[in-house]
Amino acid sequence: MARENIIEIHHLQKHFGDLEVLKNIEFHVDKGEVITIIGSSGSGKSTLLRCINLLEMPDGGEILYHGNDILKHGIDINAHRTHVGMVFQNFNLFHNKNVLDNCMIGQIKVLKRSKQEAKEKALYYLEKVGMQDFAHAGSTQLSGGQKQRVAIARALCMDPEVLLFDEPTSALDPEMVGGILDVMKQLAQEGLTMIVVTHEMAFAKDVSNRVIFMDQGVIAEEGTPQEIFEHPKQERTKEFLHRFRSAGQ
Amino acid sequence: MEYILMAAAGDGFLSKTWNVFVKYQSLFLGAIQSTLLVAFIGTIVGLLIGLVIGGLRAITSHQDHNQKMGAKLLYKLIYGITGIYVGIFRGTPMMVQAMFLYYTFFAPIFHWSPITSAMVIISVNTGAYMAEIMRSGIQSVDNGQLEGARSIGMTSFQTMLYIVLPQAIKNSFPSIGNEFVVNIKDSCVLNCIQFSELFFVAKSVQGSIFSYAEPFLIVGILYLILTLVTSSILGLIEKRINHQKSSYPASISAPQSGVLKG
Ligand SMILES: Nc1ncnc2c1ncn2[C@@H]1O[C@H](COP(=O)(O)OP(=O)(O)OP(=O)(O)O)[C@@H](O)[C@H]1O
Ligand SMILES: [Mg+2]
Repeated sequence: MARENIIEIHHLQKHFGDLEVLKNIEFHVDKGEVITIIGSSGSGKSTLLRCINLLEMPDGGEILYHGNDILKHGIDINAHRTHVGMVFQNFNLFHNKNVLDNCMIGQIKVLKRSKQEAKEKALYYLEKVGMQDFAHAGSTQLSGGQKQRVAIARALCMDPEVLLFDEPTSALDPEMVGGILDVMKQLAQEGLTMIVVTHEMAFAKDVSNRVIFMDQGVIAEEGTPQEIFEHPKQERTKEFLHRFRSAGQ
Repeated sequence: MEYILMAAAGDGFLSKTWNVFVKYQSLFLGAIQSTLLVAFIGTIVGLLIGLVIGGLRAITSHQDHNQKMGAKLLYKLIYGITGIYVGIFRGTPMMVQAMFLYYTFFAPIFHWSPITSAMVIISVNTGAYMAEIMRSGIQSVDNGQLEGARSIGMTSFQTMLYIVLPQAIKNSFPSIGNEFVVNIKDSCVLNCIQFSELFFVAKSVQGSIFSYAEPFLIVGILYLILTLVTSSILGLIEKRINHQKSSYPASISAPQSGVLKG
């Protein structure tokens, strides 16, 4: 199968005040790939992810989506965001809407789908994540794991080509983590292109095609899970994994 | 209520008061209507003004470092102008605003009646307070809500309309309702432009019977009834809002792993 390049990032830079958070990031994503981004706190993982759907505006470089630079003027940012969805650590479900409406509003207001079509699609994805029985529940009444399932369904309802996950299990009780990872695994098997920032090393090992290790605003090392976890080349990768393993014990 | 008052009245002051009320009851009841009408219109129109002005102020209060010079200037300008409006109408007595606007513009130029002018003045005055209520209400909405909306491609306007404002209104409902209660009482200063609300009627009655005590006791009681009833209705609505019905399935256990159905 020919590789189809969806996202290509060149010389990406971002700073907050004097703090250089992303330094010259080079990075690409092929269709159907599952990429995990690991790295210590503050290394710029979230910022990189947020730049990809423009929740954060980069200061320099280019982000090509199917060859078009989305940082150029005249690019419809909102249309781009429907193609590149996002799942947040803190879910960010709309408090003023129930589960079903959370999944419908974007379809109706942004994609201009009919109510009927939006509802069918919402129920389809809610069933997929195991939340169909909760369609009419208030979004603030759910457990963390349930909220994250709904948030994933909400993102899928927009039919994104790429889905970004920023530590989707970090705010969950330990017993909820497995369920969310299973949902993500299933999506990966179905061929969805995903970029996942995570501290779940087992997930990174088992599910991803490629692992990116970030350190202090740069991609310090990148490779297959085997390369990164079994034979890391860089000293800082080894150190990070070592620290991580000893912390995990 | 009438029986209770009558029973309590006896022969002296209270019975005299009761007689004054009965004699002028059509005036008093009419004044209740116009007081409520002006307070209600003022609160609703004020809320609409507050939504727009407060929304603008919330949006323009912080400048993004990604913004271009032109946008930054426009933001500063809008924030400044809306700030002047809010500052003037909150910083001066409504009575002064009424006297100035009515006798300078509304009556001589627009030929507005006192009640129309009263509605406009109380709306614009309430709007300034509502703008601040809505601005802080909007700013209290969690930033994650905005990011959630932006992440599915909603425009800032859609985000404001469908996500932020509903939550801001819900969060600030007690303050919004309080403005209504305040308006019921403070509309009394609009007697200065010949708007015939409760206070104005009390003054006219006092002029006819040459006594202050009875008419002002009457309107005092009427104001108290209006504010108490209004507050308890608002309290009920608030309860309803906070316990919005939603059907939660009987089994509230989280779905277990591996539930993905293709
Ligand atoms: N909006 C912001 N304003 C200022 N500084 C920021 C902002 N967002 C992030 N930073 C800083 O940028 C750096 C990188 O942050 P980022 O959130 O990308 O790290 P991360 O790798 O996702 O870390 P974590 O694992 O803790 O989530 C940090 O030092 C952080 O404090
Ligand atoms: Mg992060």
